[in-house]
Amino acid sequence: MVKNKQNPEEDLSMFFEVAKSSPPEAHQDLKVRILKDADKAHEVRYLPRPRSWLAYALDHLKELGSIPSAAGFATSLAAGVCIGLYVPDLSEPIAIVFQIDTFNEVDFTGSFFGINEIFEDT
Amino acid sequence: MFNGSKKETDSVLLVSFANGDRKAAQQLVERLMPKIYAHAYYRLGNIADAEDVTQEAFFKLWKFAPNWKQDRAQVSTWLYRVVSNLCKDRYRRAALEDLDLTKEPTDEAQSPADKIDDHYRQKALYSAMSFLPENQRLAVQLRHIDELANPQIAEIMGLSIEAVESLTARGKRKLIEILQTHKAELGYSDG
Repeated sequence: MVKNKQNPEEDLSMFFEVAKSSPPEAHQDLKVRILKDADKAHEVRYLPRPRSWLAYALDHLKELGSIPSAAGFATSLAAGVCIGLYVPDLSEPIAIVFQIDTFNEVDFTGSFFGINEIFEDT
Repeated sequence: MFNGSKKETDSVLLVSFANGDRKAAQQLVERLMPKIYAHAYYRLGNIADAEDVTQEAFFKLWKFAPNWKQDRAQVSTWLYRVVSNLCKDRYRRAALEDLDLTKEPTDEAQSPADKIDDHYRQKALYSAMSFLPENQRLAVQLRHIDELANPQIAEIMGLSIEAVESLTARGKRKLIEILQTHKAELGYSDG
């Protein structure tokens, strides 16, 4: 037990002295935990940054065999897309080559190998 | 990089840590953790909460390290301020009644007989301090237990130096009054 001094100011100072002279000591484990946090903070800070889409694209370009082959690939891809979107009617160009009006040349009402004429004669 | 010299200030150490020097963190912890932990313990009154708050404050420091500027406040001032805010948050959450400021620390390394006198004195002081208003208590603790200078306390508390002096003086007067009038309840007597 502590003895109470006559001077209350001195008495209070004595209490403060006791508090200062015997501070609570932290467990060693706390220091370890705090330093682990420091390591974690470091790891987060020095993690490789997420790569941009451009970096990924350049990697794929290399895999394809650099710019000439990538250009060929892109051209054929574009052609494929165009063909897919706008399907050409192949019958028209062929008819143009042979100078045939495909609709008018076929006479569905006329005779077939002169059969009509044969019947008319009879 | 940090070369281990004792002349390095806390700010220099923190910048070294931010630049990748892990040993600087160790030096900082060795220098500052005992003070910060003691402060948190005096504020909160139990080991578990004091440890949590200390760890959290340092974690915030590590995260803040890359943005630290050497010409700003001292690292210790910054930490005291963070701890102070964390303690206030805990007070709010626990609404004070759950905090037992007279709880004994569970120090298994020392026998109770070795430290019984100090224990009674500390217990009486912290119990008496728990009756002070929050600002007075913080000012008295920072000035007379943590032994900080008034300008640093003013920075931590966000007050003028005059306001800190006034708070400390009023806190001390009130403490004397409490210690005088509640001797029996606080566990000490005129002997």
